[in-house]
Amino acid sequence: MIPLLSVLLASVGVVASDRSFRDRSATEEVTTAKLEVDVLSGVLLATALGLTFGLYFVLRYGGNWTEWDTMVFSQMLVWFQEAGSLHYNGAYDKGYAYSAWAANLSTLTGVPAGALLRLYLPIIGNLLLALFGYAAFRRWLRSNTLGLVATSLLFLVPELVFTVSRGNHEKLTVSLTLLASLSLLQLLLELTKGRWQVFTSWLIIYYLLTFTLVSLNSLFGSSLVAGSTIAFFFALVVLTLRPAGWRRLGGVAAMLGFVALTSWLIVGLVTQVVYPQAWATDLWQSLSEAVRNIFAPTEALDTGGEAATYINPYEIVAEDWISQSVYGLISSFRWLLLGGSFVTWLVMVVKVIRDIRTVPLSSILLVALYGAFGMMMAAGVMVDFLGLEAGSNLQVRFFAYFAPFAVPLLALGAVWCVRALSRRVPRGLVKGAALTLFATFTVFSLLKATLDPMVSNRWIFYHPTEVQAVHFWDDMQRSSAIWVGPTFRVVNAFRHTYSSFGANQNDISAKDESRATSYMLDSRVSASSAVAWQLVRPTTTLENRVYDNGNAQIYHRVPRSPFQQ
Amino acid sequence: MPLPKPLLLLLVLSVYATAQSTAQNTTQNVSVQFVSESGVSLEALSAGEPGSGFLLYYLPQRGPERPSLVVYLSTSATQNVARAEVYQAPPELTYVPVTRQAVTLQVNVPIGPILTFEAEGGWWVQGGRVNYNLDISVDGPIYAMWGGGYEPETGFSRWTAEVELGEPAVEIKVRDPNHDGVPDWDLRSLLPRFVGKGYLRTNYTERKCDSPLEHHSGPSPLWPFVAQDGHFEQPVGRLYPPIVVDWQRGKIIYFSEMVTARNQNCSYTIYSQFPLRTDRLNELNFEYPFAFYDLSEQGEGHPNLILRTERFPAGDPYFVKGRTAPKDLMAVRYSWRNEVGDWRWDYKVEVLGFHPYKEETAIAGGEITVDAPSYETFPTWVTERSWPVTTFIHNEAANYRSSEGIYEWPTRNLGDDYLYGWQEAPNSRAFVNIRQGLRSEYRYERDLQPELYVSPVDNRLHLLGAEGGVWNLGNSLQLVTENLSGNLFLDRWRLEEKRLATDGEEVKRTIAELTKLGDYLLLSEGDTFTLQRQRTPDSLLRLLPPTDRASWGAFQAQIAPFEVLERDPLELQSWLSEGTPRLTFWGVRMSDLRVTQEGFRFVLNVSENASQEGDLALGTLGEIIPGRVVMHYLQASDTWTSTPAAPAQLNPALNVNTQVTTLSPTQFTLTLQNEGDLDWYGPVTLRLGNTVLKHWNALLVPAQGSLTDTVAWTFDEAGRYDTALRFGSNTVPLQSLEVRAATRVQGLEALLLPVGNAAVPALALLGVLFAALVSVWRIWRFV
Repeated sequence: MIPLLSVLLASVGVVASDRSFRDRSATEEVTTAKLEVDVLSGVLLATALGLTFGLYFVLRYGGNWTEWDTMVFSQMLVWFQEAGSLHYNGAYDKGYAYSAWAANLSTLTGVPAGALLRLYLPIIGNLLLALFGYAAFRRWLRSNTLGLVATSLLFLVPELVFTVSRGNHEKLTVSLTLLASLSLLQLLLELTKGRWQVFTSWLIIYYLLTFTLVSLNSLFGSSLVAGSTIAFFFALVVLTLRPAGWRRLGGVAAMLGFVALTSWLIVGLVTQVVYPQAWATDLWQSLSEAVRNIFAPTEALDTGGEAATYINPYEIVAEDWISQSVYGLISSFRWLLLGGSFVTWLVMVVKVIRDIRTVPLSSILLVALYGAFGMMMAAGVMVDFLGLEAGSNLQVRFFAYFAPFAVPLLALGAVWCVRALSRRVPRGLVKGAALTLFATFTVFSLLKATLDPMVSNRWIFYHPTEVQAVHFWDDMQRSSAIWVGPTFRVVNAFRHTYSSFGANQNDISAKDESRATSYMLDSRVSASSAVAWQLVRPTTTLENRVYDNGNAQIYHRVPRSPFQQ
Repeated sequence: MPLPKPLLLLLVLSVYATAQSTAQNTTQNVSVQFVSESGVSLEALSAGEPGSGFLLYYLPQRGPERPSLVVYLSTSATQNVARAEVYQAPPELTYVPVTRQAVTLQVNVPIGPILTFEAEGGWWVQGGRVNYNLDISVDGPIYAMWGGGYEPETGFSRWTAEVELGEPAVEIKVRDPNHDGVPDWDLRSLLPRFVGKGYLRTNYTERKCDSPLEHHSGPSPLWPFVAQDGHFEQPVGRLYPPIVVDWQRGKIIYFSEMVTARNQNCSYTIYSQFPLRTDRLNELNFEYPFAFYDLSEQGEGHPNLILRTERFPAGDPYFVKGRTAPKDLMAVRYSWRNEVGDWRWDYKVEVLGFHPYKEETAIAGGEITVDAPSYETFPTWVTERSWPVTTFIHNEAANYRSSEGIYEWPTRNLGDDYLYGWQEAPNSRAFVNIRQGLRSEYRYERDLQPELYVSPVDNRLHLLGAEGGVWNLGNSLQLVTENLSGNLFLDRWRLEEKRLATDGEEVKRTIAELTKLGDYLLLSEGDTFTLQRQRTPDSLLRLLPPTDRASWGAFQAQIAPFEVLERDPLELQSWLSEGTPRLTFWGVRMSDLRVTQEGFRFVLNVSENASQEGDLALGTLGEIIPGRVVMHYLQASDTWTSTPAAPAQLNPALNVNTQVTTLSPTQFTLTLQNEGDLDWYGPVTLRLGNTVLKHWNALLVPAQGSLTDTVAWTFDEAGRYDTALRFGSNTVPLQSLEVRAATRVQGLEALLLPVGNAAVPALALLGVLFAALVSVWRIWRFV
């Protein structure tokens, strides 16, 4: 209940903040945008944006999509519903709140968990990102228009769209991190104004959101807490360099430190008392492993007696795409985001240091948090390169938490550029170019976020007849094995659809074709996928075709020894 | 962990030297002193009187102030249980710290006892009988179960090294229901979960018959559970106290088995990686069961039949790493002796198969039920079933001694992947070599009972349905047996010399070869070839391994007449019977012997100075002329034909689809036609450019016959490919083919692939995309 309550309270907080924002908008800082959109229009547009991206994600594959995390969570939701308890066999070991939220949503609506994750939650995830993003950015940037622009930029980050669309907790952790950052900003603003009742309200909301975030995922849910802590140390450094700011910002810095410290207590409360598994299985292992590997880096590659197989995630990533150049093209916005936000950040850092007495608090905090999340992402890159168990895709995971703090800076920088260019070039031309660029990045984002077969090799869609074929086989076989393709595509699809799979102790294997499997699945999508990966398909021509539903076929290997069946 | 219950005991010091002065200062210089706070004597306490006291085990040079081991004994007046707590030295000390004043004793061990005993009935020793109705808790690292690890040099290993001091590690239950002072069963359970590790979690041993037993009481006969020294296993014919201590270090290293598995006449043992539960029928794995029998009923501490099982039920997580065992798999090593048991073994039949266990066998006094066959039925359970893999070993001359039977030629040598069907070919070296003195045979292409038979050719026992075998005769000689006809009986014996060449390769030289096909014996020995007609049955006797005393006696009685008639493996010539018609050729070499549908055929290489002698009439075929001759025996008409042999002539043909793309499988059909009169036999390689498409190590293309094989192949690169066949020293070019590159789905095809060819979803998609772009435009127009 606490997570649900906190979301509710946060929504009330957003409305309250909007009222106070409207009251003060006339007297506060001058907005950077020329035309100021009204709040309702902004909300409607953000909603439209979130809805369309979410709908596209679902409709692109007619709802027939899944991937590893989505499949795993669909199973966990079913197990949770069956157990009726937070403690069930196979429970998510990094947090309980997402399973609880989604499973209850499934129970309340009557929509099966698997369908909920595939058909509805991608839309909700994009909607939450749009609305919470808008709510936060309009305050960070002190402008409804700029907030809306920043919100739209969020959707040009395909990694973020994918993150909030797929079936795991991140649709909540990312969007609630945005909401928590808003409550952090608001409570610090209210502190400077001495409005203690409003301050207290925001503080409570912030703590509830932090509790919810950590309950969702003890590692990524703590990222804002870690970010605030680093931001606090930044503040100390800046204030030491510029003592003139002590009078204005000393109290704010102290409050930031206090909030960060108490937030760690909440992290401890969740991971030690409420859900100790999260500590045992995640933070502790990651930290102890990290320390161990720092002191004995060669052990990092030791996988326990077996040949060490360190895979550099940055070297293999291009394999997932049709070509290196296509990958570079559809990922180009990420580099624009990194470069543009960094340049804007540098400009703002200079402004903060130079005008520490006058620069708005929201700008100072945004600069600090951007730096903090940037540091965490850099650490993620290091972990990936070290090949720690926690790594392999840590940078990608952290990027989803870094991007929400980079996007407002890029929006600011982009508007500055548009304005500056408009002085020299006809405004219509500049806007047209910006819109064209934006539309192009939108298409790139959608292609990459959905891992579209036009650009990607790692497909997330499946044809229902493939699942139907495997289900038929699983029903008929016991203690048998089937090879379903060069990737886990069909494995994920089948397990997503049939969470209770396993009663017949069958193995559904993927990746390398193995002679160990007596059965093989073939289908049009499977054949196309094999060509995409340039992988050799199994030699089914000599085997017996024992099932065919028109689109998918199952072959049984002809026994070649007395022990093959 | 709780501290010793009497943390600070006010003791009435009653130093009582243990009853016998010899026991007080026994071997290895371990002395014992009893200290009682209640004034009760050790005899009385041991016999069941209420009270308590300490037993201090110490090295004389250290004195009782620094004991290596302390046991606190207590018996309650109200409860029918005697209790003992055993303290060892803390990690940092080599003795148990005790504080002893005039009338007080305190054990200063912070973690508490490492062993706790509870004895049913409230007594330890009564009338010279020891109470073996015990519940024992092991709370720390002690090698207390088979599968633990301890070495004096390196200390504990395996699970024992992972247990912390004070951590509940092993639970032991020992029972002697008839109170005869001999424990009847011993059940041990490993308590920590050790997730993902294949440690033995269950040890169970039940004494199934009387076995001579000499009791050893250790240094404290009135509490006879501490040994002077020892190991985990009990020696044959003796029962030592279970607690084995490193007296110098003050640490317990073993808690020995109290009912021995191997070192008595009969036992029913289970060693499993699965834990036992009392609330359901248990399905266990591994040595499940491990059964020891004394079929002679005169055993002196050794069994003379051992059935050692290796069983892995379907889904066993410990058997095949990273994969699910698809079905129940079990192998039973069935070793027996024709004499009273002495750890020497005459025969072994090892079977492997996939039979499920469906029994309900009560163990541990009926507290637990397992699905394994009972001790009494297990031998019959094995012999009455058919098994797809069986090996047989007869110990002809080996000095072989073991407590677990004959290890050689385990059936799993074939490879678990092969047995599960994950691999097409077995381990080719599975049944090639054997220890000197052992005669061994194997079978893995037929599902049969483990039946044996006596062959009239050599008068020895063989495995029915065996496909081959080896008898290591020593001096680099071996007798290899084969089954040419593919029926149930071995029909070829080849005496060969096997040596290692300087390059490490094995070099074999055939000395003599004897084959029985139909009513004929064919002996080839260098340039001498003998053909003898001898009407004998394929088998003189068929019998199963013994399962009980009656069948054991019958087995010996049945094979005894043949043992005296066994043939000399070094003299195959002597295997031919006197008085039956035979024909001997000199200057003639026999080769290419093969069973045909009509009978059998072989090739005679006749030299210029060949001669013959004998009384076997082969009609006109008796006269041979120099050169190569094919001899063909037609069984139905009992006639022989002979034809001059034209050499083998192989004509290959390849059929392949010419419309081939990469990444999709295509197939090649190869036909080899032999138009000669001799069989073609040798390696064949089908090549695709520089790639070997398929290689046949030894392909037989029969004379005037053909062979067809189909090979599937998938090209991963486009281009032109030439195929060629290499056989013997010839290379023949075959067909060429053009392979086109497979094209990836793209454009509209890729757009529609996920949603099929329906236009509606695609249009809906475009509509959503358009809406997204409009939203963006609406946002940016404000900028």
